[in-house]
Amino acid sequence: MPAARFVGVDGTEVLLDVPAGQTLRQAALDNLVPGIIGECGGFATCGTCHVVVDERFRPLLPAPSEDEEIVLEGLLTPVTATSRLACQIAMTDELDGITVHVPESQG
Amino acid sequence: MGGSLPRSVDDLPLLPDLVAPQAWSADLVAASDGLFERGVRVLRDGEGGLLVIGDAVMRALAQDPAVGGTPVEFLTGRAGDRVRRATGAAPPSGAAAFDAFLRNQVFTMNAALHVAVRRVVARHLVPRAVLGMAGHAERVLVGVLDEVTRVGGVVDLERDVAGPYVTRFWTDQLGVPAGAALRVQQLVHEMNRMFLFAPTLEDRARVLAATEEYLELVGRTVAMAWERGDNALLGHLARGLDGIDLPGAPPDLGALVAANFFDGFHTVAVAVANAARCLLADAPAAERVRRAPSLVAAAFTEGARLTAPLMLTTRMALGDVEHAGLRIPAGTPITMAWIAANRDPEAYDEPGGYRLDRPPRLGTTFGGGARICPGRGATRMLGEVALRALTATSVQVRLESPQPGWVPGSAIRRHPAIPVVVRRVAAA
Repeated sequence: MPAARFVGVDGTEVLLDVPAGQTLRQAALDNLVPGIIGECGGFATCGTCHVVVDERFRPLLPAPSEDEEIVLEGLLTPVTATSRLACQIAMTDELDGITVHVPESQG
Repeated sequence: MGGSLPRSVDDLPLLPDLVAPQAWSADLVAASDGLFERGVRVLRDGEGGLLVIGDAVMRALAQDPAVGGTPVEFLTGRAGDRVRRATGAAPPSGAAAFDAFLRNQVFTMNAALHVAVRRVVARHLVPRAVLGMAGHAERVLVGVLDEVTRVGGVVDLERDVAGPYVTRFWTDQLGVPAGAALRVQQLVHEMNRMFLFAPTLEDRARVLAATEEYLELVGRTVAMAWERGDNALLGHLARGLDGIDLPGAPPDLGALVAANFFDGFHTVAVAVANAARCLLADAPAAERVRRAPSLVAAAFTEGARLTAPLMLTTRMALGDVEHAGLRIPAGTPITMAWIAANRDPEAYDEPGGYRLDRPPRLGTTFGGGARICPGRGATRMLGEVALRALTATSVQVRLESPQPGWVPGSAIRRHPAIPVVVRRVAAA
């Protein structure tokens, strides 16, 4: 099963096995990863599952949708070129080992 | 029942068998607490639909794309049914304006139209945009507090503080003249009767009349402000609306704004007043926030959890839905008691307690799923500005009624009045 690594601002790492097809948001919530709220339930409408994806995995992800871009642009927390919403990242075998950094706050 | 549901909705418990209608109508929060004690999370509502009170099942159903917006025909039909049941008479005619009001609200839309209209409204209420409005909110509130402290005496926290504050904030944002703000506040107060469980003929007539005047007033003044060309928010909304080429879209900017910012005028004022009262009634918590204003976010979230103003709304199964083995047929109305889920003991420790130190878990105050309230960020900002101001060292707010009770028989959680005395305190 592919794995995903969540890294907190204090450097704490959580390594999770994530079934293919499941989103990183759901995996994080199911495993109580600190800092992921996911208020809207996975529709790219709330911006409370913001993560910064390790640069190496950026080319492997589909481009963000218009809704995801709107939400990311509207966040108060610092957004980088590899910022994504965890609800929009569905795990695949290709993404095995993906590392995402969880920001200090959401929204 | 949280983890085990029957296969058929017919095997769910029936609300009237467990809770007397008067008890539900009088205080559905207390009634829901009693249902939790019996292990109930989902019921038949006795009107042909489902009633959801549990946190987990509510979140799951809210996130199911097959559970969508409730068609206007259902809402207006049910409103008429309630008048008939309560009065034995036919509901008054002349509901065209009310029908248009509902039809232009994003929450009654489905599929591509919902996505498109929601996007137009929500993209201008993202956190970064809302932060840019906070200074304006602070200035408006200072003006309102100046007025009530100048007059002195007992005032109503909702009617005299939160109502003018929120209404003036939004009317300013939307270019509605200051002179019209008071009338807007009065009209949305009248329209609040639409949330009554057993409206009288007079209630219904007043809702229809107020809705017609509200749509005309807000629609006309917004259109005038847009034509002046000096309101960026309206410009963005108008351009977004122009880009929607779908049947059923709001016919013009005024209709879009009037229908979708109604809750901004009304429900937000109730939310601010309720959350403020929650905090002020808990002296140690209020003192903590006074000493550490960074706690206002937690204070508002907690107050809104316990006293969510819009207690329930109804969604509709657009197709057959299955959740944890329970099969919900297409066309089933599903009423989500958002405020009840905020108190589900399976989701919250000491659910009735007001605690500033809860883990950062947002409740269902603003709904859930793709239909989550697009204005929740602005609501939180307005609430946090208010709590910061009302707990500032330069202001003293004294509650004059320790237990103001709740208005019964309404889907809106609000006190009949929140009498307070507001004083300015000179710097030491």
